[in-house]
Amino acid sequence: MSEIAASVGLQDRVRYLCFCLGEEEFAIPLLQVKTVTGLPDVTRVPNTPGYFMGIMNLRGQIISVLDLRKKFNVKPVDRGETAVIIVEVGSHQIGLVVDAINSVLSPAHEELQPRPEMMNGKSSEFVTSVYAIEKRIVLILDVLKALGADDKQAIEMLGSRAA
Amino acid sequence: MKLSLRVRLTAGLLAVALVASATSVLIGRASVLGHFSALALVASLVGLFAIFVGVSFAFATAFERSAKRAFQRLQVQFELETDQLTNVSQFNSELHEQNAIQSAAATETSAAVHELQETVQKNNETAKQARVSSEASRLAAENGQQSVVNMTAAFTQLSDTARKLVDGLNGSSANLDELVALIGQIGEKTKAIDEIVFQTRILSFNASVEAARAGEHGRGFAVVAEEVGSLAQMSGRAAAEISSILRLGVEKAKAVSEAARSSADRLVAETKSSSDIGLNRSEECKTALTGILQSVEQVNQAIDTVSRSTEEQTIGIGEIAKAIMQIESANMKTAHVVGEIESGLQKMKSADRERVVIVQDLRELLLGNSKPQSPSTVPPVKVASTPVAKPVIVPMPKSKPNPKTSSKSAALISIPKMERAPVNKPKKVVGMDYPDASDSRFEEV
Repeated sequence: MSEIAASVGLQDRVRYLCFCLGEEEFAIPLLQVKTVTGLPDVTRVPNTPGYFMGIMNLRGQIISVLDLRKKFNVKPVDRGETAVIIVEVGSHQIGLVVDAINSVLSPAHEELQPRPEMMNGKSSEFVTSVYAIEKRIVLILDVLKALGADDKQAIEMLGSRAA
Repeated sequence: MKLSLRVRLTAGLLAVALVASATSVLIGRASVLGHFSALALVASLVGLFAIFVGVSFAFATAFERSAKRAFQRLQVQFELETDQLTNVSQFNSELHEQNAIQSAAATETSAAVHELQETVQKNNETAKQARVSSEASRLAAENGQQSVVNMTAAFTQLSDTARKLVDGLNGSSANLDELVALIGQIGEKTKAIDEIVFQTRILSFNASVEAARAGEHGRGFAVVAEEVGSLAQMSGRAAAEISSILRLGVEKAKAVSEAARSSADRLVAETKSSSDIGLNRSEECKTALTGILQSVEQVNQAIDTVSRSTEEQTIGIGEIAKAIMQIESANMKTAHVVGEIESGLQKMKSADRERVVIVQDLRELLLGNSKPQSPSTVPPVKVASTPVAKPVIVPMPKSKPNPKTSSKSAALISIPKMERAPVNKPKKVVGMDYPDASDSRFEEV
């Protein structure tokens, strides 16, 4: 009960879903997440970029699946916990394949630090801030920014095809 | 050359007889014519006497000549006998020497045979010792063979033991494998737990998402969802720990099993190779010992042969010793006989000398002292040309051979000769003395 009471004190804090790509930890705002699931059967779609894994069927709904590890050029580490985080991008939902989903974080506002100066640039715009927990570092991502325009186009095309 | 006195006397006597005969014949015729018969008778008697004396004289002369010849032959015979005696004496002395040599050789042979006997005896003893040694070798070799048999049995037992040990190790290895399989099953179960944990966490994240969407109303639920998530995570960690522990156990069990198996294999291989080497060595030992036994048997046979030979040698040497003893006794007898012969010869020599003297005496008795006063009185002797000493015969001073006077004179005259002869040639064998040319005994021919 005391934990529940303590969490009540954190009610104003923004929650993040923390996951792993390779050895690194990343997090996205929990409200952007639609649902999470284990890695289902993915149907491969020809003539798509390498990080575009294919499409999946989630309770009758066709969802495009992106391999974030390939997208971010991270070497995948299979812990048997590979999962798909389904996020809403505009009117579409896309699945992001990660090595593992770790936990739900609710850092205090002051615990979040801006990304370092050296990371400034187009390629690292999707990292919104850095969260340091003890010896760990979690990069907070903006999914919309992380996906390029062509990705969105492809997603929309796939979505319209699915519709 | 002058005629001898006797011949002249004989011739004279014959002339007188012839004259007397003629006278008697003439007187006989005259008596027939006249009466001179008495005168004729005297003349006839004178003629007859003259004839008788002449015939007697002639007969005596003929007898003397015959006797001389006989004495000459006798002398020659004596000389031959003397030569023979000398030869026999020489042969006898040679026989004596040979006998001495033979005797010495027999003694040496006897000594050698004695040494040989000792050597053979030593050989016999050596053969006996060799037999004892050989017997010891045989016993040792047989013991060795028994040891080899025991060793072979031990190696076989060792092999069996190693096999049993390996069977045991393989059995425990199989048990370990079962254990590993069991742990594997547990691992499978932990995988199921992991899956459940994963699904639970996914659910808890979805619950968190739903709670976040619920806003104010979902706050309490969000906490619950996170708690569930963290519990699931703890379960996951525990399952992972169990899994890693199981993995460790499996690895250890597998390592132990593998080690047991490999060490069993190694043990088997090593034991087998050691055992095989040992068995090979045993076989070699067995072969070597069999060879030794065969050799010992051969040595024994050789020793037996040597022993038999030694016995035969002993018998042979004994016979040789006996033969040598017989030879020695024969030698002694021979030496004795030689001595006897020698003394016999000495006796014969002295007898010979005596005989010469007797013959000389007889000659002097018959022919008188034939010492040549005038060469014409001595008849020619055939053997006189050779320088052989012959008894000197001094001719009698009388023209007529009177047995009495001649024997007397010969005895009288020959005495100094008899005494002189042993002084001149006491050591010489009769007939061996070659006198000088100036020797007075030489006859002038």
